Amino acid sequence: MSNSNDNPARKKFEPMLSPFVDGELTPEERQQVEQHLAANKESAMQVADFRAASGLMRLTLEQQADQEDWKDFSNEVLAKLTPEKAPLFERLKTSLSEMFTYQRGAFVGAMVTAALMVTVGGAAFLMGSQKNTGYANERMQMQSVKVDQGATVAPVVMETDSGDAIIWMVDQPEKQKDDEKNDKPKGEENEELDGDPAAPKKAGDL
Amino acid sequence: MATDDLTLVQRVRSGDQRAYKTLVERYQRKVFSVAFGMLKDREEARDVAQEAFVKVYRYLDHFKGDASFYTWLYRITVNICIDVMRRKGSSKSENVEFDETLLHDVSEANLGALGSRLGTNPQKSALRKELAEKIQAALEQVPEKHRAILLLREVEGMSYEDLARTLEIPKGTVMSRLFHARLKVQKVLNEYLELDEAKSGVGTE
Amino acid sequence: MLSAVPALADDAKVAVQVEVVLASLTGNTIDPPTLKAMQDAMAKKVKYGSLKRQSLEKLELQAAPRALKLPNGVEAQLSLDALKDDVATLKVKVPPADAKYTLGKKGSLYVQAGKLGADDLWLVVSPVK
Repeated sequence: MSNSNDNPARKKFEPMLSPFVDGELTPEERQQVEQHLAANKESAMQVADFRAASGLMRLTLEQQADQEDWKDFSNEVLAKLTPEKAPLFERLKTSLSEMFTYQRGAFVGAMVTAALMVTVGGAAFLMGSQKNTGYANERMQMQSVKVDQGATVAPVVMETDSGDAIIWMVDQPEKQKDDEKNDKPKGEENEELDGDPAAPKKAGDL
Repeated sequence: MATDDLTLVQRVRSGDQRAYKTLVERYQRKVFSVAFGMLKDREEARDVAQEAFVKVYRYLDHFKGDASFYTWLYRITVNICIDVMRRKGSSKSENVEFDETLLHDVSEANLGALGSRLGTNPQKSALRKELAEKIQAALEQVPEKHRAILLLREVEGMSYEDLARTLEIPKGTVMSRLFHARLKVQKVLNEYLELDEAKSGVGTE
Repeated sequence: MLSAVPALADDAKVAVQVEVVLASLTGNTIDPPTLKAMQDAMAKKVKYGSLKRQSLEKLELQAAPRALKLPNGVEAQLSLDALKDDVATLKVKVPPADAKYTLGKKGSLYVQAGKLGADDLWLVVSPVK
């Protein structure tokens, strides 16, 4: 049995055969590989195999996709999303409430929360009183949401008209890169939502 | 001229859902193909594709635009596939980054069989059909992370740079995993051809 | 600001209702029908086809965390963090998330608690009805 270990040139060039097939080598490397292929039948056969398998795989997967009925697919996706564009106020409120779960810094959180409280609180109407202990407030109010260190998800908080709060956990694919880029000290992802209704100032921005 | 992804994303963010429909239609087949290659199940692949598009939409407000939309979409697709595989217990998250024995396994005896037979066999379309069925079996032998790279490369034609961005791994890792995945597929397909030849008494042409 | 943490009396407790709900993008079953409110609340982000309640518990929360094992193996913990002027602050931990909020007569807290199969699992904390 013969393999690349028996042939130093083949051993050297073998890892380059896959990038060669993909056109990922520099012009110099490409030239070197072409010269090697002209002299080494095994490597040439391997390249032919790679190309054949590659073409076969592409064809097979395309055929699988062809067998699907795509007519309604995009509509099915859209049906799972919000069917209509939300009114401006709703979009603003949602994006702002989401923003304060992502923006770093308590100040932004404080501003947005205060703005939300004024707006939402202003629209609130009194419900019948309940006797349960701990329920003196008319509406629930988020204070903070954090995730464990190293979590690959981030919390997104959405507040609704009816006074609910929804915490979505969304993948945070950029997290690692951001951490590297910003060179921030790693710690808990802590999003304090300042709940002080007397805090600033920016309700008018809504 | 087709509107670029970033422009469509901006339109979606300003509330134009038709723009998202365009993005879905642009990528639906390829996202499905990647999911199908990962999961080998049409229904699951379709569900994953839908989930990926829903998830991307849900997160669109946070798309920074400094990366390509499509690398982001495929990253989410691959992650959902891996989740599904883990839930089913079909995940093979091998720690082996590169299986050196594969270099020995692809012997001179079967090297080139795939390329030569597919290239010259007069019944190549029949053979191709047969081999297409074996492709899934071959893919199943490839560890999930290596498989994802191979599929993204073959289905989307992604550059190594974009593969590295999509899967958040160094470019060198892309290169070695792709090579590893290809050797594995080559080995399985060539073994099948050897068996086939032994059965029919046909040699390589 | 919430910087001052009110002392919590040993016997302080608040009652909440905790539901575990399985949400699927497919299908069209809302069981029980009261979950329609949850479907509507979430519709801005995603339109779930089916919502099925997996469990409903009425809990009296105190300072010591109360664990709740979810069907996907995730262990949620709920506890009373503070009680001042009849306003209760709860801590709800659904790994990897940890939330703190003050109760109100109105409003539920929905926390995404991972997946179960292809579906999403949610923890819903509401005032006792």
